[in-house]
Amino acid sequence: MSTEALWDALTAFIGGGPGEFVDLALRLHAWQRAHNPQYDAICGDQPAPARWQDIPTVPVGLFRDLPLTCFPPDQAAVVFRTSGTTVGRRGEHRCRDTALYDLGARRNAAHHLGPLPRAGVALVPYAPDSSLGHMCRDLVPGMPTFFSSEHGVDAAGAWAALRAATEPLFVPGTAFAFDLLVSTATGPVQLPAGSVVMVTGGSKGRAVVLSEPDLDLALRQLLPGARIVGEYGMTELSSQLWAVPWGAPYQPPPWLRVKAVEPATGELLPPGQEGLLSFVDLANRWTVLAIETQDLGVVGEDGAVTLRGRVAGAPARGCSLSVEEALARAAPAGVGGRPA
Amino acid sequence: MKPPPEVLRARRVVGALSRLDAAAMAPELDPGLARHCLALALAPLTVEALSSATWGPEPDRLPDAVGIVAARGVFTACVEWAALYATAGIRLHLKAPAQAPAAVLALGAALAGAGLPVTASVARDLSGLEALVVFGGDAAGGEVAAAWPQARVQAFGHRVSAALVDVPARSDALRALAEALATDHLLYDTQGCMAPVAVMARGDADGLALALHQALAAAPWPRGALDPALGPEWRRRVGLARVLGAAWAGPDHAVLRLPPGQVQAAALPRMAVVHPVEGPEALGPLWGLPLSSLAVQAGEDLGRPAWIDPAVRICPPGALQTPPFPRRHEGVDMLGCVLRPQVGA
Repeated sequence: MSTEALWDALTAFIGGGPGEFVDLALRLHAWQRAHNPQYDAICGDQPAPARWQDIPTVPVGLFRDLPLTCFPPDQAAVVFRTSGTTVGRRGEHRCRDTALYDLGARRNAAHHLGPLPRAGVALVPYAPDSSLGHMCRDLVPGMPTFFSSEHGVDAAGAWAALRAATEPLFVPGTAFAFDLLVSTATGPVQLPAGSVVMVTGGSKGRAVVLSEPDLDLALRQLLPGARIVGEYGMTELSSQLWAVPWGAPYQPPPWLRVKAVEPATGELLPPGQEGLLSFVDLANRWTVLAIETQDLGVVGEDGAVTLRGRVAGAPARGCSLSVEEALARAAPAGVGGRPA
Repeated sequence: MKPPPEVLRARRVVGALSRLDAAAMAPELDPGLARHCLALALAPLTVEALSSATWGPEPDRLPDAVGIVAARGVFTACVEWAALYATAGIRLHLKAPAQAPAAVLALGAALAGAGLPVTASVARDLSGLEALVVFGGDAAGGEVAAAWPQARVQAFGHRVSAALVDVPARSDALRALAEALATDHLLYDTQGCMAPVAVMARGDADGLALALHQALAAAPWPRGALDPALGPEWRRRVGLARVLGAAWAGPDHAVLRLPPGQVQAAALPRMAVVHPVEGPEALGPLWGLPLSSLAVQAGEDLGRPAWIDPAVRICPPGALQTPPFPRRHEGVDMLGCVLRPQVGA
C-alpha cells in the first residue's frame, strides 16, 4: 500500500468510512518502521507483528529525548509539548499537519456529546504548543480562555463569563483548574440547557483540595444545567477517550485501542486486570502509533478504560500541572481569587 | 587486665551485628545476595577497627545522644555509623524510613539486645538528641535541622557514583575489569549512592559492554523483583540506547552503550551504562553529577583529573560498594561530625 493509499484509508476509517482497525494498525506500523528510523531502531529485530497487541510500543518518556518522527523533525508544522513540570525536559510531539488529529477529535466529540455548543468558556492553556488548547479551540472556535501559563486561572473572569451565558456553553478545563474555580464560587450559576463541562487531566496527586468525586459533585451543584463529562488525552497521542458522564469508564474511538501491560515487564495483561496503559492510535501517523503511558488502569472486555492513577513513583506530569506551575509562579500576588 | 570500655563495647557490637538476618532486613533483594552484601558490610567492622576508630576525641566532646535518620535504599547503609557510635559509648537513636523500616529496626533491636543504649523507631520524634546524622534527599537535612534546632545536623544528600576506565586490550584483563564492574552493579542491585550510574570507557566500549553483559549474566544471585514504578524508565533507557547506541539485555539485567551526553543521574537495578569517551574532555557530563565515589582504572590523564572534588572517594573497579572503615565519608569524618565543638575553636 502506497503512502497516499494508506493516508486515504486512515482518513476514511477515522472519518467513519470503511476499514478494519487491525489491518490498518499493522500497515501503519510497517510504514512507520520504514519511515521512522528511531522507531525502527527501538523495534530492533522484532518480527512483524500479527496482532495489534504485539506492535512494539514506545515509552512516553522517550518523547523527551527523541523526536521520533516519520519525517525530518525540522519540517514539523506543529509541535505539541508536555508540561514537563517535574523532569525538566518537555516531551514533544511533532506533526506535519493536524488533519487526522482534528478529524478524529471532532468526530469523537460529536459521537459522545452530540452537537457541541457554539460558545464556550475555557480553562485550558491556549499556548500554541498545547495539544489540549488546540483541540478545544478547534472544537469551539473563538471560545475565550480564562487560563494562562503566566497568570494561572482567572476565576473571577470565568465566573463572570459563565453568569453572562445566554446560550449553551462548552466549558473545558483541567481538574486542577476546576478545583481552583470551585474554591472561589459564591453560588450556583445556572447554565443554559445543552451546556457541557469537560474535565480532563486529573490532579496527578498534586495539591488539589477536592477529590474527583467531590469535584464532580461540586460542579453539578455549582453549574446546574450542564452535563459533566471526562476527557482523557495525552500530548503524545492524537486521539482522545471520553467518559460520559464523568466517572464512567473512558471509551476509545474505533481508531484507538488500549491494552494494559505489567508495569515492570511490559507484558500484556488480560482484560479486567490493572496495569500500565498502552495505546495504539491510528491518528498518530506522524510519529509512533503505539505508546506506553505511565498511567495505570483497567481495560474492560469492551475496550473501555477505568483509570487508576499513575504508576507509583513515576514522575508526575500532565496538563493539570501546568496550572499548578502557574499557581506557584504567581503565588506571591495571589492567583485565581485565592489568597496567596 | 580488664580491656578498655570501648573494646568491651566493640565486642558487644560485633556480636550483635553477627546475629543480623540479612534476608529479613532486605526483602527486596535475593536472600543470597542480601547475605553477601551484609557480610561485605560487616567485614571491616572488627573489634579492633571499631575500638580504634573511637580513640582520639576528649571524652567531654562526645555527645550524650546521637540520632541517625536513615533513608530508604541500601539496607546496610547505617550499620557502620551505628556500630561506631555505639562503640564510642554514645546513646543512639535510629530513625527508620517509614517505607522500608525493617533493616533499621532490626539493627536497633540487635544492638539493644546486646545491652547497648540504642533505640529505633519510625516515629519522627528526634527530641533530646544532641547531634543528628541525616541520610536522604537533599532537602531532608534542612527540614530536620529546622524541625530540631537543638541538634547539630550532618546531612548527606543525593549522591551517585561512576567508573572511569581504559578498556584493556588483553582478553583476560578485559574479563577481569568486566567482572569487577559487574560486582559494582550487582551489589545491592545497584541501589544507593555508591552504585555506578555510568561507566566512562576509553577504548573498545562495545567490547567492554559485551564482557560486562556476560559477567552480569553469570551473576550467582538473581535480581530482586523490579519495582513496577521503574519498568517504564527501564524501557525508556533501553529504547534510547537502541536509537543512540546499543543495548545488550538479559532476563534481569541490561548493558547499554550511550553517548557521554546521555549520562543518567540515577541508577536502575542491574542496568550498566557504558559511555565511550576519547579523552578527559568528554567527561564533562560526569562532573555535573553529585559524585560520591569513582572507580578508576585508567591513565593519569583520564583517571586523575585535577578538578575531581577531593571529597570524592577514588577506588578500583569492584570496590565501589565496599568503602573502607573508618573513612571520611564525602569528606566528612564519621565520628568527628557528631562531636561537640572544641572549646576555643
